[in-house]
Amino acid sequence: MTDALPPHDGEDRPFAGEYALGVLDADERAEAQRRIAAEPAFARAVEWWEGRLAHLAERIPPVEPPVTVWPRIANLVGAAATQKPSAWNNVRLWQGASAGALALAAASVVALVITPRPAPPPAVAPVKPPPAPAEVALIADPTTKQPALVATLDHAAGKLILTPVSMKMPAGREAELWIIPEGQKAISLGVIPGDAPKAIALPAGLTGAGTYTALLAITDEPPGGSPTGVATGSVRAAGKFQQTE
Amino acid sequence: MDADTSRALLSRAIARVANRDPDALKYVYRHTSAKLFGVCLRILNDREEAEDVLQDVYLTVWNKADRFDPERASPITWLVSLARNRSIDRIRARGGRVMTVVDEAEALPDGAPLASTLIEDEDDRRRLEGCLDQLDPKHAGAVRTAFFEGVTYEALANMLSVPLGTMKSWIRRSLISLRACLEA
Repeated sequence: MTDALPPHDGEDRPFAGEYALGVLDADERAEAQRRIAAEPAFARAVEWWEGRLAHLAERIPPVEPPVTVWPRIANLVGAAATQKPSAWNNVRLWQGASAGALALAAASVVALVITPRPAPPPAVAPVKPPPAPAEVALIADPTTKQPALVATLDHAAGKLILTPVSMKMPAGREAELWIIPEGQKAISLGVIPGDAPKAIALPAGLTGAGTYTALLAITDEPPGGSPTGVATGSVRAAGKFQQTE
Repeated sequence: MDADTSRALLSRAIARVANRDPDALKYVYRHTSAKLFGVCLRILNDREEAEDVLQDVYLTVWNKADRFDPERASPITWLVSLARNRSIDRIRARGGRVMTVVDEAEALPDGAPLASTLIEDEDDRRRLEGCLDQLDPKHAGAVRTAFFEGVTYEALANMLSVPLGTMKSWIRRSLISLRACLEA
């Protein structure tokens, strides 16, 4: 703790504090920034002040930035170029699945979701030995049972491949996906597109067996996602993973 | 999600950004951009400039995430400081344009509800408030206004109708007292 304290850099001029508070003019700020880069003790003093003064910022209300800002950033960091080709095989598979197969899968997943307790999933086909490379969740509207999204777990990549089937959100709202491990609170997996497949990373610590028993849910949220980190909209769809053959 | 969990997830996401994971940057953006945009807007009073600075802030996160040390700073403190510093550098670059009305600046700190959903350590926040409360109310008001407006000594002196030398003395003495109080 002691090394986090600012040096007493002249009692008449707490320069690091002045910088952190933001009262210096342009030349003095440039001087302070030069010292931050060159003098570790000064840099620590600035860090100390920032760590304390930043609590004042809790009084500043959050404001949603326009939806155009993130795509610009994503573009600049090359986010679009990082999709793993292997992931797309699963996507294709699901896009190619017949409507009948989807409906069947939907029915069984919905049964899993809405049945209060155990009730084994309906055995529609003999269970085959599963060297399953991926688990699949069909996320469907809880009332109409219309499938909204297929989520495929890619173990090797630690990713979740999302393929929208039919996702309708109220005007001005975006679909945010949540994973809810058994007995825990929902963790946001972010806003997801309604019209294009997408691969997302699973949160660290959720790549183990717990993922398979977790519930996935989609809520409608303001553009950019829930501002609070907790779902604020209605549940539009939900579903769990099940083993693929 | 409680504060510890969101803080841990955010720290982990920043560590992943350091490894060039764009999904992690998106996570950080999703969970902090409204807060940081609020901070930028507060200082810049101009949406277009605030958008530019916000973009710049996340590009800095992308390029300098390895400088974040979760042992030394909380992720939201680090991000808020980055956003404030970029915003302040921006208003310095455009010259001493002062747009905010003093009434509004003074109304904010006590009137506004706790808006953050990324609540920091409550004890630390209360401690800061307690130390500010021990200052002369005029001095504490000047410190708060300086923080929320990000203006120079000179602009601050004009805003609060105090001679420049007096304002410097208020702020410096306040910072020295705050440090002693926070270290105690």
